[in-house]
Amino acid sequence: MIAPVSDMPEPSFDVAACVQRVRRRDEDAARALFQHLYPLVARLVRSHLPRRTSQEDLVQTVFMKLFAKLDGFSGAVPLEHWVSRITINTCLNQLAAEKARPELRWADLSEEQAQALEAVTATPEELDPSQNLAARELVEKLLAQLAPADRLVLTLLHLEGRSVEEVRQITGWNVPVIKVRAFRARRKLRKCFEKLTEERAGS
Amino acid sequence: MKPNDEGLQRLLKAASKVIPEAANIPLGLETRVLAQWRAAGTDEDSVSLFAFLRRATVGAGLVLVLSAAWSLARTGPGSAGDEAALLNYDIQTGLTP
Repeated sequence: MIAPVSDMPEPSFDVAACVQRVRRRDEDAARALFQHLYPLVARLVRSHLPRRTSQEDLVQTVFMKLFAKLDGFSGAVPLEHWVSRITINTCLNQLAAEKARPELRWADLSEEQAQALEAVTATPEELDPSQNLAARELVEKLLAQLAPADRLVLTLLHLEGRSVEEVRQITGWNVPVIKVRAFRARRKLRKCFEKLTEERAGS
Repeated sequence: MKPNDEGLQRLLKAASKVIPEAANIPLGLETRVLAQWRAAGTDEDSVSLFAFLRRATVGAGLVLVLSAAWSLARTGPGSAGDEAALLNYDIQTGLTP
């Protein structure tokens, strides 16, 4: 399910106090922390979800890692950055385990996705807002053909609109690596896109 | 810029306007996560108890070895204790008819 909503955790939540209580095995605090972080974790997992993994299972895995590593959280970076990094690394590991990345064919597209593709290739105008959802699904299908790291860097930069510095904080990669990886990933994505549009032209 | 580049840019731009919805917490997920968290806590307690017992055993063993070594050093060959025992033995054997 996709909707244009903002789901960042509420700012009034006292993260430091809650983390301290969770460390002391306070179950109410653990529940509060889960509820506070769920929107962020779920959104990230949804953006970086491997094909053959259930979103719910992956969210559960992420939370178990978060709770297990909570003693190691120093507070030097915002909790949301720390959580994002663990979530994305978990997704990345899961994506890496899925070696097969099937080729996307024109026939695999839904009617809405095919229309969105035709619209972006046929006219130089922006897509109609009603086609944004189909565009998102189409881009996710295109990205699924790339290697996990390529998919990650493009998702963070182009779909989530994060800066290179934010990507550095989340992934731990240095800036030149991010830039080179993004450049190569864009080139690969362009090839996948061209292949799909050529197939459409031939059909 | 090639037409395909522009098309891809427009597609990415349109896609970025949609943020994946977190939706509500699925039924039972919170309970499962908290149950695992509790279980992990119990495991951690047993692990720390085990670590304490292991350290205690190693410490006790070390004390045992040190005291045995000290005892051997005191009663080792050529020590004053042995000489006294030999003298006692000589006296006893000399006195007996």
